[in-house]
Amino acid sequence: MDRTPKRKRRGFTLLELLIAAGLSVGMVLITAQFWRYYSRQLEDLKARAHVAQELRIALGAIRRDMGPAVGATPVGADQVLLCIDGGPDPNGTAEWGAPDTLVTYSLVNGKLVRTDQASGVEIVLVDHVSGFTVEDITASLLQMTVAIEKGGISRQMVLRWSRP
Amino acid sequence: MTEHAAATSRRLPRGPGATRPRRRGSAPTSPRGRRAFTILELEVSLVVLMGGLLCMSSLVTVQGKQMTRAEAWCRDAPTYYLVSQSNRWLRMLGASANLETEAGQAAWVPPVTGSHTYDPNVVSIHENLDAETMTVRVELFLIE
Repeated sequence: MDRTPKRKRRGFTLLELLIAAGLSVGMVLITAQFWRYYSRQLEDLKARAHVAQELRIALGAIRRDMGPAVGATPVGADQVLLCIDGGPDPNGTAEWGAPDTLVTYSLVNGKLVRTDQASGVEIVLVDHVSGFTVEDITASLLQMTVAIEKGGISRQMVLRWSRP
Repeated sequence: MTEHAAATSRRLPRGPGATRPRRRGSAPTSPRGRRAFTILELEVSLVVLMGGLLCMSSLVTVQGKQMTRAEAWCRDAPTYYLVSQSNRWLRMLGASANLETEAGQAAWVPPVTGSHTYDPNVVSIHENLDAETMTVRVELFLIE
């Protein structure tokens, strides 16, 4: 004799199950869409932050060298030679050799490289450089354009320097 | 064996694949005896997950606004004008070039130039006899 009590619990109807399953699938789909959208947004934000940071580093380095610079001349389309006033008594005139310091900024394999001509030390300043152009706008105005691109985000800045 | 234990052994089937009888009001169990999730629990967990994702989305939105503000300086291909230091002391100190957003703006002029008169006050004097050098620290007070 089976003494297990017979329960009279009503189960889910097919319609209830279908509605619940539909709601679940809808929520999962919405969640997946949200996730995909915000993942893309996060990637975009990371790329924008990286590009802005690289541009800031390039601007800082060029500013630092241009402060005491007394001469600059383009060497080709993607290279510039700076003459930095040096020595114990900077005289304010460009002497393309000692005691002044010569520094080159050039684009090498998508990197902006700073080279000290005297010591030959090369420093990679920024990466993901899509363009670095140097040109003389006028006889006294030099223009440098730095463009950075990463993850579909592209930014550029133009730097103009007047010869003293 | 006590009477209670004998009754329990009669009610619980034994052996592989045997299922335990469900108690009244308890959740459904699998053949292995593990309790499964109910649909209600699943729905609640999905709602909680969606709430978490919405919270994360607000974070991403705030971060996006901050990023837009932070990169405003380089967003529209700006043109900056670099002005080298005209003062030779600043050149010796390696001061950075002045950054200007428009052409022809006057470069910053250091306050030590010009025809101001200062009242010097010697703060300290250090002599190094080995190196034959002397370091003097002086304070300058601008006389109006």
